[in-house]
Amino acid sequence: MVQENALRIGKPFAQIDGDILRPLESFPTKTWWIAFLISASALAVFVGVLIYSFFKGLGIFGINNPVGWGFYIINFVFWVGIGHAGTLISAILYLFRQKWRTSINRASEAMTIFAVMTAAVFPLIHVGRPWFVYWIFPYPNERGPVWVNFRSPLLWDVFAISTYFIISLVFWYMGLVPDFATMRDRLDGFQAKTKIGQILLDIRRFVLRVISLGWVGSAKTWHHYEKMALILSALATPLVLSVHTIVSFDFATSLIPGWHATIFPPYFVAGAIYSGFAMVLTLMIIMRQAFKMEAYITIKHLENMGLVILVTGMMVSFAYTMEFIMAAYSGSHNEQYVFLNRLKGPYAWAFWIMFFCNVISPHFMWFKKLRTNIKVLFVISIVVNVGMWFERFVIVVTSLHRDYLPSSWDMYIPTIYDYAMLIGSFGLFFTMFLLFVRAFPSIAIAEVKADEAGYEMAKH
Amino acid sequence: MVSFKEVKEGLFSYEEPDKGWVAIFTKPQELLKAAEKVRDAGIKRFDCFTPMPIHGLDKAMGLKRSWVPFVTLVTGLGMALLEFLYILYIDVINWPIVYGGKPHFSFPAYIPILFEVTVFMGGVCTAAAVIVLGRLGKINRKPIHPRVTSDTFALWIGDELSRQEVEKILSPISCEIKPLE
Amino acid sequence: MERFQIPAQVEKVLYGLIGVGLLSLLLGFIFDPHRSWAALLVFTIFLLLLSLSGGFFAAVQLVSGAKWSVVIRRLSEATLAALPVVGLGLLAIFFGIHHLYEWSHADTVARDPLLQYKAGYLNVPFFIVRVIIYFLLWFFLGNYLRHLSLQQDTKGQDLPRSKLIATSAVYLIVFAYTLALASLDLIMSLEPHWFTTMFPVYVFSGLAYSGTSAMIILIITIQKYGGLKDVTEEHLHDMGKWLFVFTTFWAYIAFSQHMLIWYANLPEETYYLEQRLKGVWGYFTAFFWIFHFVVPFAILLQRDVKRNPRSLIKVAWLTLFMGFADVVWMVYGGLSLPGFPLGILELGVFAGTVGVFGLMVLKSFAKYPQVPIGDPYLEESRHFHQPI
Repeated sequence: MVQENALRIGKPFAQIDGDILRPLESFPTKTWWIAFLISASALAVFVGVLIYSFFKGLGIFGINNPVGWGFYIINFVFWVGIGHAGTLISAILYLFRQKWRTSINRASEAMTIFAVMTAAVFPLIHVGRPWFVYWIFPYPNERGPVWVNFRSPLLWDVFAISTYFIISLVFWYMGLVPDFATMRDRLDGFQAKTKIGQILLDIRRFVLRVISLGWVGSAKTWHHYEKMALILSALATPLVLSVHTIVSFDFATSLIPGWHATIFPPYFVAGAIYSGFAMVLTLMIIMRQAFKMEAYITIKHLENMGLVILVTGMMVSFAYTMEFIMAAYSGSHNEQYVFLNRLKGPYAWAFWIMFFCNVISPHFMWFKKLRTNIKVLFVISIVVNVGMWFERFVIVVTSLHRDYLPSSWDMYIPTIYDYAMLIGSFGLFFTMFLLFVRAFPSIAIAEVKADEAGYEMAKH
Repeated sequence: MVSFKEVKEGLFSYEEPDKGWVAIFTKPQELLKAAEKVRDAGIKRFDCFTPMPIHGLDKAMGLKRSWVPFVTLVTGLGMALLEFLYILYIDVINWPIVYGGKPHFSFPAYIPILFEVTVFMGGVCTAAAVIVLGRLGKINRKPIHPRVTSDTFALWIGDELSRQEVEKILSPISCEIKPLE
Repeated sequence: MERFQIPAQVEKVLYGLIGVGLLSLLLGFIFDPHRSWAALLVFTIFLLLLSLSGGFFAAVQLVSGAKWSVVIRRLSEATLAALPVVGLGLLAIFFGIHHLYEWSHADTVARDPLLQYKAGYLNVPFFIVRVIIYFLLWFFLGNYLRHLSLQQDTKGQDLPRSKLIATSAVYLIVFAYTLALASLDLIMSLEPHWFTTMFPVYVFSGLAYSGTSAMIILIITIQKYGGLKDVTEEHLHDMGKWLFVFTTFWAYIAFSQHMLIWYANLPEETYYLEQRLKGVWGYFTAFFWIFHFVVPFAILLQRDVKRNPRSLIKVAWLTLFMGFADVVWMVYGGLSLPGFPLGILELGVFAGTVGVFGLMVLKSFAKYPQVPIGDPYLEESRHFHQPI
């Protein structure tokens, strides 16, 4: 009872509509414009480097012979991982009946979609000839009987990422339909002052009519719809685990020490949820400050996310420990060298950054005072994401740059274009997210109201 | 076994409100009680309109179990089977090549793909099933009450009844009853 | 709150099962000592997994603040009562160490450079010390958690929930690391050349799987004899869901481990799988995948099965047995024993494990009130309903 009361908003339904839809129906604030301009310029850098790389080839990046997978794969794994928290919140917490997910699930699902889109850019370019990228799909073709390799984890990735993207999109859109209907019916009360305003309003009315699919809130439709929410959650839960599992297979099916570890699947999944929750926390703190949604995204929500970060952080630490213990136990020279090289080799700084950010920093969340302090949470959420980026750096670079043959050892030095792509990917992600908060209800209105109605009915 | 008629009713339960009466409520628990009364009065054509899903309303209205899970199961497994045959054709018959010392038919390596297509097809078809079974997609449809997607709860009765009969069924729940035009 | 009385009939059956277990081990030691030592190890490990699972379950429920499970928390804590027998089993293993662990033979080690390298870790005294440390940690920390939870009955709200939660969190961390190390020492070192990082997680998935099955069987049996009246089909439904989750989780972990070993095909790793796929073991592994995962998965997908005690207990017996078969799979695979790994001896040992576990848990459960009467969430848990 205690927790439910803490989550109850206690406002009339119509006011909930107004609160959530306000950012959509008014002219954007100055903060929004500043944020948008910054991320759009980062996006411009991203697109510029992308086009430049098409003309010059992949040589402009730092990848070399032993380290054939550089920043691109690191960014890919990083962004796919970010996406996982969204599905976790919308699907897994739904199955676990965690009511606090309701006010954050819409925005985090959007985050999933944008993160997957950002991630998908990297392998598409990394194939070298992106204009032939459709060859990755197994369709009957005239290039002789040439088929994709179904035994390759890279192809599994194609299936996993595209399924993940489409299912997340479907889940998200179907969740939006009742809210679109709410927006459509609210427009009836609007009147335009100018002629152009009238045209824009008409366009808006038409678009909302189309995308709300003629939703009128019939209980018979809700009946199927609720079943669908349950099924999609039940499908998305194993899906989200499978996606990062398959990403981890890219590494773990190989023979490289440091890559071939059977613990990789659950370890990557835990890491993905860890970094994803950190990103959700960052975004939610910004969103609630910028749009004054403190009533909907309360400190309780933020605290719970901090606790998830603590738990998944400890899982990640457990996996690190197991890797070291098994390497020590194995007696395998190569296996042990990789881990010593991580601790003391030329990239030890990356390892120790990762160690501080991922292993030590979540433990601040043990203290209630710290995990209910928004500033601390904000800092931790960013620190964790830095750590998770470095984790992928450590896995990819330190394992590759010194493997079985010392004659082919080399260093990996990222170029300015690598850094530009890294920063630019944040631009792509944040631009899409900022457009989203302007164009869609960033809190699931119908779901928030359903919880409110539930509390109301439980009282009687 | 279920009869064909039952299947058809279960599939397309939604009906467009065309004539009859509309009762307007402001609280979900009132609608819930009203739905129970209407169901117990033996009314055939009726529906509730709510801004959010109401827990227990399907039971109160006496709705049949949704067919959506069935669609998911059949489409998901069906697609997995098709994909399996497709891979089999490609890897064993059309283009048998050895990669990485693996046999032509490497079942463990196919499991990730089979899983993904199951989820993909099952998920997409589930959403499609809701659109079809819930009779969505008619974009020119008007809600029964302008605020029914915001904070108002409506109950529509389509049977041929007089105002007094409707009032008798719904009493003592406080609501506004008006004819549907 | 009335206590649960173990019906004489059940007690007789449990003693009978223990008798069967002892008899089969006794006959085993006469006719095939090598195999019987392995069977004794299987018994110890399986009982260990079962008794730790309850502590794990209770701690997870406390940490996550779950309310539905309050009515079954006492029962899950009671599984810790079987730990003393695990201690006896471990003691017996110490005597049979030379029959089981290759690395304990000085002559084998002398011929094998890798084992010489590992001798600093894999040697008899250190092994015994480590196992004793794990055991003491499980025993005392588990008992402390249980003791604290029992205090709730008298102290009620005066015992701050945060203390229970903090203890559970510490318990879980200690549990994770000790179980990982114990699985390395007790099981993985049976094949001392072999290693894989997933193995501790695999053992954990087995623990959760068999533990949930055992809990379901216990709940339904106790209810049959008039106990645990507060547990409704709603709670059983959730337990069924947990069983479903752990069935899937096991399949996920097992698939990842097997597929990655198969795919990379590294000589130092892949022979583990090869040994378990050739000859009669191929059938065993196939049998294992079908009945450990496919069949329970398909059955538990249905909602009605999870809500009906009679059908749920049948599935739980199957999964409990398959959890046992999993331990056999891990332990026997490295010992190159002839014949099908599940024989009369193993069935007898399974019966014995069930008997010992059931008896210890029920006896301990009967000592205290059946539900945590001081827990603030008890009322809510009693009236719990599946929202969907």
